[in-house]
Amino acid sequence: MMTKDDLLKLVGDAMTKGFAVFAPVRQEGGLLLARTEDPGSIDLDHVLTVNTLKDVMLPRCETLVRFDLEKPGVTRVEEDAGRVLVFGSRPCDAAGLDILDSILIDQVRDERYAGRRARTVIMSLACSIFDEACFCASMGYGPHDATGSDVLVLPSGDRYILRAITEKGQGFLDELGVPAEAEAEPDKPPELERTVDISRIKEWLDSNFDSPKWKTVSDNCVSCGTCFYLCPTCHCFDIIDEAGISRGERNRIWDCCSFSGFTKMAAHQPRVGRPARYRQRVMHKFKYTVDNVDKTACVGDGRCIRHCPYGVDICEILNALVGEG
Amino acid sequence: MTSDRENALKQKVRELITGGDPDLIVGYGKTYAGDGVRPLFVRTASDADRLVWNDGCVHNLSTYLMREPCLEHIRKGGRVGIVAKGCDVRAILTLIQEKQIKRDSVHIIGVTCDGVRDTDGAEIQVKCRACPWQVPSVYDDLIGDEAEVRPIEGDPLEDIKTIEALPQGERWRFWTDALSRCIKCYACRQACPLCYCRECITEKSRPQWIEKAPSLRGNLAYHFIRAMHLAGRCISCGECSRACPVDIPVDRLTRYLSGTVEEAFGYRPGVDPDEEPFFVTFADDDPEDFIR
Amino acid sequence: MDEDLVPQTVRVEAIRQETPDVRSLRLVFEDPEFGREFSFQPGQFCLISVYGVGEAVFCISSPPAWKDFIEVSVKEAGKVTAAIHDLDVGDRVGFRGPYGNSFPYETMQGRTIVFVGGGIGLAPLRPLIWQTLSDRAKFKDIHIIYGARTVKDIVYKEELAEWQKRDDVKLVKTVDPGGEDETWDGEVGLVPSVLEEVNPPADSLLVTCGPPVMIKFTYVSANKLGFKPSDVITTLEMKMKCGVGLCGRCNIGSRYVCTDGPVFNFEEILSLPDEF
Repeated sequence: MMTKDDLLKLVGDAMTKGFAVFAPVRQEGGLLLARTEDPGSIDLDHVLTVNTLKDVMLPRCETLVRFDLEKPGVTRVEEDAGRVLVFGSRPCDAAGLDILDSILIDQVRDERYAGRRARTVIMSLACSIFDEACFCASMGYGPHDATGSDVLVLPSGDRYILRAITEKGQGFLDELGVPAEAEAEPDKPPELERTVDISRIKEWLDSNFDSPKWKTVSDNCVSCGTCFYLCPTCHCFDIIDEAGISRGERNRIWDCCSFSGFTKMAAHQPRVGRPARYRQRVMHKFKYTVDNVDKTACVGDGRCIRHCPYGVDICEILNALVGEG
Repeated sequence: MTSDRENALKQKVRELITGGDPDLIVGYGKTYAGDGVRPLFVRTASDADRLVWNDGCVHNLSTYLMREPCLEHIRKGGRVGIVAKGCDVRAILTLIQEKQIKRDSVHIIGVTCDGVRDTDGAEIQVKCRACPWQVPSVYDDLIGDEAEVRPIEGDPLEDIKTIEALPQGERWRFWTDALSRCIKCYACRQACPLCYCRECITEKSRPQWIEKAPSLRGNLAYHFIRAMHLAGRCISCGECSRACPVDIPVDRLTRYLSGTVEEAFGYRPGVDPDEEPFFVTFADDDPEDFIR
Repeated sequence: MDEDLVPQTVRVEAIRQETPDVRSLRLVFEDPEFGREFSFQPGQFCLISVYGVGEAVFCISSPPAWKDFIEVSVKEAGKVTAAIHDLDVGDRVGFRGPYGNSFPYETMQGRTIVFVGGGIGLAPLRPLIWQTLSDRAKFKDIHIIYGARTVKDIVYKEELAEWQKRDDVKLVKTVDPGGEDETWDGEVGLVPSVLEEVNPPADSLLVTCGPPVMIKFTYVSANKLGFKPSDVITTLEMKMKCGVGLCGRCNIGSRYVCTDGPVFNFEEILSLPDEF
C-alpha cells in the first residue's frame, strides 16, 4: 500500500533511473498526457486526459528519414532508445494499446511502434471516478481493467495498491525496490452510468453496408478529425515529404478517414461523401478490425463523445443502427 | 422567458415542417446523454417536439448549410431552415453576400438571444456580453421579442487587445505555444461556417502550399493562412475555438483580422445581404494606390 | 514481417516514353547485394519515392526473369507521378517493396489464359504475360485483348507487336470509338465488347487490369460469356501510403488491397462492398 506521496516519489525515482516519464499534467491545452520532469505536476484526480497513450506510442508526427537532395540515399532517423514510463494513464487507454498491438505488431511489425512498446512501462491508474461519456464496461473492459497495462495502480481508501500485470511490470517494480506484500482489498470499481449493448452490432454491420440508415445517422458530423485524433485506437497515418531547397525529411503523420483526401487518388475517389466516410469509421472499429484481429477497435473511453463539437455520439449511433426503423 | 421561446420555436418549426417548406430544418436538441445541447436535424413534426432553446445553444448551425445533407438539399432546389441567433445570422448573410447560397434557399428562424455559454461556462461568453446582435438583423420568422435586449457590456475585442499589448517576443511565444499544440484535426475549419472551400488550400498538392505535418511550422502556416482567408469575413461566432480539442484560441486570429479590416475600411461582413463582400470590391477613394 | 518504412535507393538507368503521359523507368539498385537478393512475383507492387515530393505505388511491370533491374510504368496524374516524369537518367529515387500478393501462377497452368488490359492497366499484366510466354508449353491458348483510349495512348507498342507476330498468341488490340487514326489496324470499340466478340471459352482464366470502370464492365462481359467469378482475376489500385497493412486507407470492406491484394478474383470482389 502506498500513499499518493509514495507513488509520486516512485515516479521521481524512475526519473532518476533514467525513465522518460509521461503523465497527466494540466497545461494550457487542458489536461494532457505529456512529458514531465516534475512528479509534483502530475494530476491524479482526473477522469481522462484529452490525448491518449497513442500520442506516446504513435506520435502525431514522427520523422522516418532525412535526405539531402544533392546526395543519394537517405538517413534513417533513429530515435532515443531510452526507457519510458507512462504513469497515471487510465485502463481504457492501456486497453487501446492492446488493440494497437494486434494491428501494429502481430499482423505486420511496425518497427518503431514495436520498439517504443518494448521499452515503455505502462503504469495505469484504475478509475474511481468517471463521467457520463465513459462506457468502458460495455466494451468488455472496466474501470479496474488490467488489459494492456504493465502495472495497475488500484485505489484502496486513501492509499494505492500496486499490482504487476506483466513480467515487464514486475521487473519495473523490482528495479524500483517496491516490496512485494500481501495485497490489500482495492476499492470496488464504480458502476458506470452509460451502457451500450454491442452484442448485435457486428452481425448487423456484416450485412448492412448499404443500409439507408447511414445517410442520416451521422447528420451532426461536420467531418473534422477530433474523434479520430483523440481515439486511443484510431491509428491511420499518412507519409509525407517536407523539403526545403536542399534538405528535407519524410514524416509519418496522423491521418483520418473523415477527410475526403484520405482515399482520393489523382484520377479516382472510391469513397464519396460524409455518410460513406462515417460508415468507414464505424465499420473499421466494429467490423473490419473484428474480422482481421478478432478485437473491436473501441475501448469505451468516450473521448469521441466528450470532445465532439456537435454532439455526435457513437453509442447512440450503434443503437440506432441495430434498432428498429 | 427561455421556455416561452422554446415553446414558440417548437410550434413554429412544427408548423413549417408540416407545411413542407422548408422540409429540412436544423435546430437544437438535447445530447444523447440528455444534459447538454447539440444540433438537431428536423424532418418530421415529431422531431420538432424534441427541439430545445436555452443558453447552451452555442453552436452556429449555419455551418451545416455548406455541408451534407443541407448542401445537397439546396442544390436540388430545396430550402433549408436554420434556427439562428443574431451572430449566426451574420454567417448566413455572409454566405449570401459571397453568393454561396441564395436568400430564398434558406429560411431563417431567428431567435432573440440572451447570450450563450459553453458546457462548462458559468458566465455567458465574452462575445455575448458585448453582442449588438441580440435580435437577428434578418429573419423569416422571429422567436422572442424585439424589445428584449440587454445593454451591451465590455469590449468584444478585449481578449485580442490583451495579446496585442504584449511585447513582440511574448506575443510570438503566446502563439507558438498555442499553435504547437495543434493536432491538425481541422475541427476549427470544419466548424467554421465560412470555411466552405470545396478543396481547402491545405489539401492542394500541386503545389503543396502548406506543410501537412502537425509540426509547429506546418501549424503556423495553416492557422495564419486560414486567418488571412477569413480577414473581413470572420463574423466572430467563436465556433473554431469552441471546437478545438486542445483549447487553442484560434478565433483571436480571425477576429483580429476582421477587426483590422473594419478599422481600415469600415467593412463588417454579414450585415447587409446585398452589400458586396470586402474582397471583391474597391473604392475610388481607396487610400492605397496599388489597386487603382 | 518487419517494416520500418525506410526506402532503398535505386538509380534510373533508362527511360522510355510510352505515350504522351506514360513513361517506363528502368531502375537499378544502388546496393548491389540488395539487387542480387531481390525477388518478386508478377502482380506485386512497390513504392517509388522522389525525395521531397513523396511516395506513390506502382506495380512492378517487368518480369522476374529480367535480372539486374526492374521496370515501372508511370502515368502522370498527380504530384508524385509528375515528379517522376521530371526525372532524368542517372537520378536516384527511393524504392520499397515488393509488397502484396501475386497472380496465382501455379493454378493458372494447364488452362487457356485471356489477358484483358486497358491503357496503363497493361503494366501489371506485362510481367505475367512474359512469364506465361516463357513457360508457353504449360498453357493452352493465350489471348491478349488490349485497349486504349486512343492510338496515342497505347503502351508497350513494340512488345504488343512482338506478341501479335507470334503464332502461339491471339492478340486483339482496340481503341475507344473516336480514338483511331488513319494508320490504325486494330479494332475500334470498348474492351468489354471486344472481349465478347473474341468469345473465349468459358473455362479459360481471365486476367484483367485497367481503369476501375473497365474492370467492372469486363467482369459483366465475362459473366455473360459464362465465366465463373473465381476465374476472373484482377488487380486493384487504391490510395496507399505504407503498402504493408498499417496505414489503414486501402481497405475494401475488411480486406486490405496492400496485403490481401492487389490481386483478387471476382468471387472475392463480389463479397466486398462496392467501394473501390
